[in-house]
Parts: sequence; structure tokens; C-alpha cells
Amino acid sequence: MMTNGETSAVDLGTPPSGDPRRPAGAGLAYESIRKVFGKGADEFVALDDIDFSTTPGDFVSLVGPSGCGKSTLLKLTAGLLNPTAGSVLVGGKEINGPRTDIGLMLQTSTLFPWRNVVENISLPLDIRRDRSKNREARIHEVLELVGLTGFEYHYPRELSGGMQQRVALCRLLISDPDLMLLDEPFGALDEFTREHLNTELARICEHEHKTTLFVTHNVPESVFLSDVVVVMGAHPGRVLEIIEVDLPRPRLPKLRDSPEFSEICVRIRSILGLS
Amino acid sequence: MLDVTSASEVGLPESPPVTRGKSHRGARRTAKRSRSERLRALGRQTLLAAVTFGVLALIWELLSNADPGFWPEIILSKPSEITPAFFEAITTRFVWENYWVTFQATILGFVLGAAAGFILGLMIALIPVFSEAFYPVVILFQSTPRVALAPVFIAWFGFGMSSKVALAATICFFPVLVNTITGLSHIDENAMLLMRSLKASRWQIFTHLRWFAALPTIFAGLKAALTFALIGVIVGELKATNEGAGFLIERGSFQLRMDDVFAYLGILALFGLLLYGIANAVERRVVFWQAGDAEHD
Ligand SMILES: Nc1ncnc2c1ncn2[C@@H]1O[C@H](COP(=O)(O)OP(=O)(O)O)[C@@H](O)[C@H]1O
Ligand SMILES: [Mg+2]
Repeated sequence: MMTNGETSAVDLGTPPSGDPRRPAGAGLAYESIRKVFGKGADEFVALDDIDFSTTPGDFVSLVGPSGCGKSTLLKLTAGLLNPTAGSVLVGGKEINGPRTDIGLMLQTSTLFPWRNVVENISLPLDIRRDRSKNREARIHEVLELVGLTGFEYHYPRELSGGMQQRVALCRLLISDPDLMLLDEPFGALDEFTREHLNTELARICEHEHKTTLFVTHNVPESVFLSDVVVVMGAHPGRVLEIIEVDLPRPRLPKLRDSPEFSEICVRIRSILGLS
Repeated sequence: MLDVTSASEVGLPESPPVTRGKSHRGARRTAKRSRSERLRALGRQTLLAAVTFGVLALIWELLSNADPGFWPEIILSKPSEITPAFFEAITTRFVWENYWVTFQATILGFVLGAAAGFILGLMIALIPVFSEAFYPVVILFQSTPRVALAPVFIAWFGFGMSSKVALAATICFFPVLVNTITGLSHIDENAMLLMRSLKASRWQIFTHLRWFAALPTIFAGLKAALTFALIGVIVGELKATNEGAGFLIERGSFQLRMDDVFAYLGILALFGLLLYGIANAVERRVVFWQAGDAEHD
């Protein structure tokens, strides 16, 4: 059983597992991806000729209108769907099914209501049959990272939407994946909570140096978080342009008010035909 | 592994703890409020029910005294006679023995029927071949009124315990079967995506997700089945046996002892209430994460 957060013996001063310099996550490469749903007359081209790659450790956003195939591309990367043509490479290895070095988080928290916070975060460990001694300590680390210390034994229905998404983020972080896939993770939250959680996410990602693929239809959100914004269009789903975001890190809330920030937003909006 | 730097260390305003404190207290307040609200609602319901019951009993009493010729007392009886009959009944060993028989038959029928329904439901929900083979047959039987089977069971099993247990089990079987299938068949798509992304095996998806997700629905079926089991046993006892609550009622009616009949019915009502209360208490423990919601509908 878990002990109380207060009494768990985590030495926050020294980096665990004796590896202070962590690898910078896995690079992404899409090679001539095409995804078609349905057959014959019902055939629907969700993605056509997706071809780009990114640097390991980058925060990559997919931004575009609803239905342009963002979630489909994310599921292809997760190995939850197979491309009709082409291949996806994560860390140089072709995807042909779900992988434990890739973590997924969706718009709905999909927390299990019968598991409390700690038990929900343990789910990936339970599935991997990871019974290591430091399980507890790691759970408390991720809880602290997202600011949920003290909520260990609460059930999902006792938490706000924002807190539920934090728990879902913990459940993703506990596996220590090389690639994090986030599909509109804060899309169902109010704007205030969303901005706040985005700031948190920027901090966590800068800290963890994990490659991240982030799906959104919110332009400022994508610019705030990303190193690279992949701007997508619909009918068929395709890449319109890839924008490098050369804004300084750490990304802090006041960045949203800077002219450089607005400039990039305006550019993306015009590519999307919004302005 | 993760190394942890807290918000303040990277020079960010430590906003989460504020949200934390607030929402924490907020969450507990709502939990408390809903519990006291629930208690108050329960008290109000009980009071209103008692008042309604009293008023109805009073009207009944007055009507039966109004015109003795018009309301033949022998058929209707009245509260002032039923009340002593009730207290006499609940202090009589013979009566208790008969209700004990009914209780045993109900529980036995429930366990047999529910277990069969649950096991077949599991097989139909989890093994595609079973689904195709059995589901149409199940639908066909489900639309047959099960009490109509009473004479069949009496013909097969004779008078006594087995025919009424068989009837109760048959009636129990269907709600459990159908709810087990329904509960296990409804799968949250996103939860499924999550499990697949974690490389969970079919068995792990079942034990970690589908089973728990199905439990509330399965429990609803079990609760309905428990009530149905009692109905099955009583019908069996009315038709054919010389013991049990149904037999007491049948005998009382036959002898035109209406005060006794109503007293037995009263005990039966309390008995049903007790079964339902036990089922609810067990449900609240097993499906604990639904405790709050279940009260509202
Ligand atoms: N399993 C599926 N079968 C058929 N069509 C699908 C399926 N999944 C997605 N689509 C279609 O593909 C298109 C892109 O979907 P999606 O990737 O979810 O878009 P986005 O996430 O950008 O809003 C949509 O038009 C959607 O209807
Ligand atoms: Mg989507």
C-alpha cells in the first residue's frame, strides 16, 4: 500500500537512476503517409502525402481545423491505426503497433472512477507488472511535478476537470516515455484553466526534454508551447506549412503579450485562411 | 526516471497549491452537502410515506365503519382488525417458519438464476460464437411472461421446494443475463484507446476496465432479480405447496380470514423491503464509486 505523501522518502535533490543527462526523446519521421477510411464509394481520404520529420526533444504541435486529420495522424504515431501507405518512424524505428516508449493522453481524462488518484497513475505500471520498490516514490514525484500532492487518495469525481487532466498527465509521465502524444488535452477546459495548464505543460516539457506531439485547434496555444508548429488543412488532410517557433525558453505567461508571439500567430492564422 | 523540480525552483509563480487548497475544500464541501441533503431527503420521504399510509388506513377504517352492509367486512377487513392480526402473526412461530421457507426459496432461486444468468452473460459478451448462437434465443424467451411457466414447473418438479425455486431462478435469470451482456458490451472508446496504447492484453482490458465498467449495470440487474425471485417464489407457493408465505396467504383467503391475509401481506412487504435494503447496502459497497449518483435516480 501507499504511504502518505508527507512521509514518503524521496530525496528531491539528487536525480534518480544515476543518469543526470537524459536522452532528448525520440525524433519523429513521417514518410509519404496516406490514410484512407472506408472502401469504394465510401472512401474518405483523411490524410494525404504527409512527409516531414522533427528533431528529437522538440515540442511539435499539429494545428488545423476540425476534421483535417490531426487525431488520425496522432493515432498513426501511437500505433493505434495503420497507414494505408507510407510509414511512421519514432526514434528511427518504424511503428507497427503500440509501444511502451510512447505515451498517450486524450481530451477526456479517461480516469477510471473506481481507482483513486494514486491507483489511476499506477495503471501503466500495473499493466506492465512493474512491482519495483520505488513505485510509490515515482508516483509522488509526478504528483508533485503537476502540483497534486495531497490528492493521492481522492477519487476522480472529487476532482475538477483541470485536476483530472493533471492526473491523466501524471499517468502519462509515470511511464517515462520518450514520446508524449497529447490530443487536445486541455480542450474541454475553460480558458483560464487551459492557459494555466499550458504554462505548466511548457515547464514540465522543458524540464523533461521529451519529444511531444500536441494536437490542438487553438493557434496561440500551439505557438506558446511549441518548437515546431505543423499547420494542417482539410479535404484532404495535409500539411500546409511547417513553422519554426524561435521564442525563448522557458516559456512564461508574459510571452503571450509579446509582439514576436503575436507575429507568429498572425502568420499561422493567415496560412489557415483565418485572417 | 524523473527528477523533480518544483514550480518555485524554476522561478514560476506557485499557483497550483492555491488551486489545490481551494478545490480541495470545495470538493469536500460538496461531498458533505450531498450526504446531508440525501439524509434530509430520506427523512422527508419516510415522513411523507408514513403520513400517506396513516391517512389511507384512516379512510379505509372510516369507510368500513360507514355502512357495514355496503362494505362487507368479511371481504375487506379493516385496519383496526388487521393491526392485532399483524402483531399476532409476527409473534407466532408457525408464521415465522413459513416465511423462513419463503426466504430460503427466494435466496436459493436467486443464487441459481443469477449465477446462471451471469455465467451465460459472460460467455455471450466475451465469446463471439456464443453471442451469435444464444442471443436470438434469449430475446425470444425474454418476451415470454415467465410466471406463465409456473404450471410447467409444477408439472416437472412437483409440489414443494423445487418447483418454486425453479420458477424464481427462471425469473431471475433474465435481468442478470441481459444486464451482464449490456454492461460488458458497452465499452468507452477512449478508455479502450488508452488501454491499447498501454499494450494491455485482452485479459488485462477485461480485469482492469470492462469488468469494473460493467459492474453498475450488472448490479442493477441483480437488484431487479432479487425482487423478481420473491415474486417467483410467492407465485409458486400460491399455486402449489403447503408451506411458505404464499401458502399462508392462499389459505387465509380460502378461509376468508382477511385480517390475517392483510397481516401476512404486510409482513411480506416488510420482507421485500428488507431484501431490497440489503441489496442496496451491498451495492453501495461494491459499486462504491457510483454511490452518489445511484441515489438520484
Ligand atoms: N475510424 C474512422 N472511420 C471513418 N472516418 C474516420 C475515422 N476516424 C476519423 N475519420 C474521419 O477522418 C477525418 C479526420 O478525423 P480526425 O483525425 O479525428 O480529425 P481532427 O482530429 O483533425 O478533428 C474526419 O472527417 C473523420 O470523420
Ligand atoms: Mg481530433
